[in-house]
Amino acid sequence: MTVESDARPETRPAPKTRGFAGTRLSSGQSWERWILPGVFVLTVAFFTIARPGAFLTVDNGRSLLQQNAPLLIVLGGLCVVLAMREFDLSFASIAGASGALTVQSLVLFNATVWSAVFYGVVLGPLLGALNGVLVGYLRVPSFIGTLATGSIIQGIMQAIAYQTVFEGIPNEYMDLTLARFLGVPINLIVIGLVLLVIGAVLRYSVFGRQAAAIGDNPDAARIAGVNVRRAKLIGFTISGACAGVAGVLLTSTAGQYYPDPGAALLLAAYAAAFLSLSLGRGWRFNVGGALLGAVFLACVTTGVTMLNYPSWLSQFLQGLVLLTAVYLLTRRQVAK
Amino acid sequence: MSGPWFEASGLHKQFGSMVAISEADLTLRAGEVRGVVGPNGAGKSTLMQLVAGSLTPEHGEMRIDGAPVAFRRPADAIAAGIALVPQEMRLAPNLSVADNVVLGNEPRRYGWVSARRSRQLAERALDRLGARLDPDAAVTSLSPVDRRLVMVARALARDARLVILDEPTAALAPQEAGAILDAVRAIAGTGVTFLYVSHRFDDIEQVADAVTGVRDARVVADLPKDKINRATLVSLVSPVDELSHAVPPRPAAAAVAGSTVLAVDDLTGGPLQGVSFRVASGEIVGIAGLSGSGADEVMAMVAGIDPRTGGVVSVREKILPSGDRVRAVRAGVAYVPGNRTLAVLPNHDVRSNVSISNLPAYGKWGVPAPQRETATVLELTAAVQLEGALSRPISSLSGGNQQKAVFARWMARDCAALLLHDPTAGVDVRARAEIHQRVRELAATGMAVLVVTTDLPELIELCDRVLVLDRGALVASLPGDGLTESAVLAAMVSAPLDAAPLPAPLEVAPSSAPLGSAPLNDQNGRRS
Repeated sequence: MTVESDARPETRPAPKTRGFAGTRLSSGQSWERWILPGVFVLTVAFFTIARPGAFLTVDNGRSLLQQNAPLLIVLGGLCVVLAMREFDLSFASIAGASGALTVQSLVLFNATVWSAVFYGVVLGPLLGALNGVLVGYLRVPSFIGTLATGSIIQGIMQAIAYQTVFEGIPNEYMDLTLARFLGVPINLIVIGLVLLVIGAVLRYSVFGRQAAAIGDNPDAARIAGVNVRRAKLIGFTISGACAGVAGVLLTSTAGQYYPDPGAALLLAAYAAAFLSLSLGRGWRFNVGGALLGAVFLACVTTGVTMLNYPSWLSQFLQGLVLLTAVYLLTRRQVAK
Repeated sequence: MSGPWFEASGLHKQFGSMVAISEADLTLRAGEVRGVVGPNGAGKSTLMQLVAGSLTPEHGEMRIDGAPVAFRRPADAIAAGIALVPQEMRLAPNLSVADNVVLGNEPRRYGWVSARRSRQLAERALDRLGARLDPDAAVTSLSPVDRRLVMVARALARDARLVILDEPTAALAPQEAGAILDAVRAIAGTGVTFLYVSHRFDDIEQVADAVTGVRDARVVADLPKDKINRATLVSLVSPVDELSHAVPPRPAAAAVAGSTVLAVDDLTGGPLQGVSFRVASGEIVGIAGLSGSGADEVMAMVAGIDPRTGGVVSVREKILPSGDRVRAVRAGVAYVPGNRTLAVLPNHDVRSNVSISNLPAYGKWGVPAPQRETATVLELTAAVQLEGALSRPISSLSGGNQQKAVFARWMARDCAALLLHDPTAGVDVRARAEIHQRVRELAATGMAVLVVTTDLPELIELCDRVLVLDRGALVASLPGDGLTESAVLAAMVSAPLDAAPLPAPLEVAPSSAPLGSAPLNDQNGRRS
């Protein structure tokens, strides 16, 4: 289900993901769907008026996206898992582990920047596949299962990074995320590619269609001959791969390794994903909507900071928005 | 026996436009055991749930000792002395027998549950049942019959005046059922009234003082003790009267007896105890059986949905692995579940619902080509005569049309065997005839068709051969030609019915059954 994002492009700070031209009609008459987009527009309008010439600018939009690059990437992977109505609570730890491995390779093993990045990025899907085997083939409930694997991964990560001083991270590594390609920051290119590919896979590929079917009715999908176990393995692997990329971006942007760099991603990603869910009908995740949700939440944070409001307010507002979204979603589902 | 203490009159309940029970009267005396019989979906369960407060009637009234009562929830009925013992096991398996007996009704002492008084209460209730059970034993250690007794004890521990037993012996072997029947008779002797819902005529004959017959959402018979015999009971259950359900003649067995497509040998698992049969190409074979007979399990195991514990299932001489749906589909086993919540993707459109089982075939590189997909789906929906836009959400379609879409799904593949589970459950008469036509056409293309249904006329209309299952064993194989409902029924209730002369129509008027009330199967989760 595509969010009708192209219906109101004027207020959005820059996201480039169009609503995919879809055939699935949104025949739902419920006006409640438009509460959150309305609130979004009002929020942006409010900050724009409060800080004219500072909030709604290209620069601000770009920095907003760049700051949230790791979040936007794990969000793509999360959408795949959520589409199947499974949960992945380990991606933040996977991102941390990938970041740790990359930095370790650079500092301790003097690996070249590219090979270090390669290790970090490959670790992600490997750990994700582990989740996939647990959930798909061994039927461990994903919520608690990935909570456990996340904890294990984090333990190992801390063991690796314990009391190691990460000095001497080569500048090239930090330059990765500062570099531009054809004038566009590499961060944004990675985001665009990852989200576009995942969005297309979810919407058009056999895997994506089957994932949506599993999310809609897992029993019916299985009876119809969908290989549910394999789809879950693929889904968790994709989520892990995104986390791996995010881990590299995180440490590169920070220019250093610090414990549990992915910690902030977990809640924000779920918040954004469920915001997107409240826009659609039923359990249909799509990347465009999730991107919109993430941008919404980021706007709240940035706006609150710009206006020098106390920082607790942004936390408070984000929670409030999420709660409203989930409540509206539940209400619609009950009404059905 | 004293005068009636419980009276219900004119009870009416409908779900949407579907009338579940209408104008039902029920009168009960102290110490009476009243059998309740009727076909699946006739309204028995609804009537019982009205009496037990699980449902509230649209109109009609109930009186206890002459005073009108209205139950809004089960707790109200329990307070009035009415307890329902459901067909499914509702016990906390890891708690002790005593804890289960007092569950929801725990004796308190200073606000804390008193273990000592719980035990006393449980022991007293079990004593009344004549059940020698250790109150401290865990429920998991009990046999099925003892578990059933614990459920009845729970009702007794609440000092119920009326206990409703819904199919208490459905999952039990006949010798085990005896323990339940003895207990019912013993407790009835102390003045407790029973409503005894059962398909097992043996039980009813042994235990009932009177019988209420329910059919087509109405109470159609009220038999005194001396009228209770096999013949009257069979005629009560015989599902549909000819008026609402003309059975079209079955086309002459179309050149059957092709090669064997589906072979099942010595299938075990769940209640099944070594079931073997063959279905040939082009043949339509039905399986009949009461709930708990194992017919459902045969379907689930052959389709690869549930694992089997033993035996061999092979399709076109290829052995299917146990519990592997993906491989079963690859081998060509199509499955149309009767329970539509297992069939459709409710938030998807018609197109996706039809194409889901065959997506990889529509394109390259794992991306189905939209034009090809749409063209194929159009062809298939036309073949099953399903009209309307493909982009409609499937949940906006009627039950019959949803079923057609699920049929179309399997026609896209080159299937060897088609398994149908209650293919026309909750479907109106016209759609039913169309679906039967499709099934025959599919069989004519060389598919092996296996039908499990609780709808007897359907078996007779469709099948070239009917297998009868009872308590996990194959007890009869009846040829389709000249098959009658009473013959199938006789085999289903299993006690050897020596060439049962079909009873003359009941004296009770069939009360002009509403035409629209096609057979309803309450097996599909409509027990609410």
